[in-house]
Amino acid sequence: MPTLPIVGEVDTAVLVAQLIFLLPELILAVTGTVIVAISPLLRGRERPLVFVAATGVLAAFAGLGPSVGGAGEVLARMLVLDGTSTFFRPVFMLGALIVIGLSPDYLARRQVPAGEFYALVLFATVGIMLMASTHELLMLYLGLELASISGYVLAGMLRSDARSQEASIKLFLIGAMGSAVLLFGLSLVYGITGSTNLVEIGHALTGGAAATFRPALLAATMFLVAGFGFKMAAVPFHMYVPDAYEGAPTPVAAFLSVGLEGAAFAAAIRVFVTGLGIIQPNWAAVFAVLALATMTLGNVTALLQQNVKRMMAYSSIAQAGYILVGLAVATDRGISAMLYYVLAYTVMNLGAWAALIYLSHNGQSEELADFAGLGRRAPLVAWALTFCFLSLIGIPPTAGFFGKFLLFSAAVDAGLFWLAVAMAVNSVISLGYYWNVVRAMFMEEPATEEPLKASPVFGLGFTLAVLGTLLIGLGAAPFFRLVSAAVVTLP
Amino acid sequence: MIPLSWVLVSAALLFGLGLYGALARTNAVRILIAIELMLNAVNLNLVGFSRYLSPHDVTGQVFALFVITVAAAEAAVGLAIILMIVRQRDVSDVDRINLLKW
Repeated sequence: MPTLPIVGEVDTAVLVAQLIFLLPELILAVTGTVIVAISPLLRGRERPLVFVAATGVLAAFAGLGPSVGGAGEVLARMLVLDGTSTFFRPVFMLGALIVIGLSPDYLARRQVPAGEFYALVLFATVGIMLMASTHELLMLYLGLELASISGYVLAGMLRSDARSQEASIKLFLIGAMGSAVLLFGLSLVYGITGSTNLVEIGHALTGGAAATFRPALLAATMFLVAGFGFKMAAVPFHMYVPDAYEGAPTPVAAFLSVGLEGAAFAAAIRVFVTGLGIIQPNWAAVFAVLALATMTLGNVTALLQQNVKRMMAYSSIAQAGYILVGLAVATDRGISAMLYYVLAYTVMNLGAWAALIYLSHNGQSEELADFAGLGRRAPLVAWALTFCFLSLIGIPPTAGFFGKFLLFSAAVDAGLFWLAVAMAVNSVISLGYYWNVVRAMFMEEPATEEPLKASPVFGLGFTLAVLGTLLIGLGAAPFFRLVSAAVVTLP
Repeated sequence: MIPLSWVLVSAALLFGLGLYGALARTNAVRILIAIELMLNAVNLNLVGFSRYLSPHDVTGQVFALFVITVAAAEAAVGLAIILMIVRQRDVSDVDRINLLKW
């Protein structure tokens, strides 16, 4: 009887002892399950569940303790503890925490079942955290599907709203197709290298498999680029994103734009750098073209939007284009810049989405006209939104500036001048559509003076996002060290 | 024994068929079925590689089992979404689900 490689010689006792490294994910999953179980008992008074969900995420932060400083592959090589996973897991939990804080007013207003919402956000967070912390293709796929399937349901949570339904079906059909394409690429990589572990795949490829099976490997790479392209919202795989984000409930759009996209980048770093590092010139060139197309098309199309929610969807496509520069450069500096940018993007983008959530839970729509006079009706929100926009454009001393600066200098360093110039030009273009909103807020008369309200929980979530944008920018130095340390461990 | 190339060619054909169906059809259920074809092509690849690379290595087969399970979960969610739309609007044609358009 041959030993089965999946379980290998791993001792069950060791396996159970190693579950401690999975503590954050376990806590999140258990919290989600508890919320599902108790929400029917609350008979519609589901508002307090926000505290259960937030407590779960905070406990999960504490659960990271044993994993910090750990190194190597644990749990039958399904989970990897290294700088990258140590970096990404808290980033994704921070994103989830902010989204949970921003949601309760919106959920109450639009009569979304809060229990289901929080549970699905928590499950999706488990999925994206697993995607970022594994070298195993199977685990990567399972994490991706856990996050994606939760996302399909979340997008359709306004059940009687035809636009939410449409967002859900578009996200589902394109998302499932993207997963299938990605999976086909993964199956080819497994066939070429005989392994599903990215480190072993890297060894097999450097050991000669890359030369022997070159055409098959290039084909597999194209499938992987396309599959990840769908999940990252990269042009030309972005067609569903504006529709999905516009129709989905606003907190869901916010969550998808930072969580799922961020996880796709994290997983892409692992697959391409760790696994397919040997054919780096091939995929890096493709990513360079994708980055240029994504940021340019995202920004130019965003200029044409009247609906701010749709504009933010195009803006997040453009931001994905900037992050892709990191993969196009594919040096250690490029990857660490990418990590920093994902962190900055998480807080600044959630801060901008928060203003949209604020308007819609006050019964406004998300057209540009609804922002008129917001500077007088809700000065704090208006200034915070302006600040997040400055960060998204890349103006100092915000987090976005340092992120762009790092990506820019990494591109120049690697000799990709044209891409660096394209980034700068695109930042200028993006000024146009953000300015439209800012002008409406501060220079136009409000249609009504009716005051806008928000609960303290919303305020906390918003503050967390805006403060994060400020602190990650002002105190950038420790975060630089963090991302540089995170990237060293990449082989 | 059937050569590996046969397995791979039929998987590639199946995948191409599924991709064509997913892109060319407009009925949501048909698209879903086309996507299932794509996933089955992946399974064929995985099991074929697993068998031919080394008879003792079951990684590919285990992977295929997981893919089948996840595909079932995905189909359940997808059909629920389609049902939700059909109940309210009586359309399952994606060309007519077009409120959101640039």
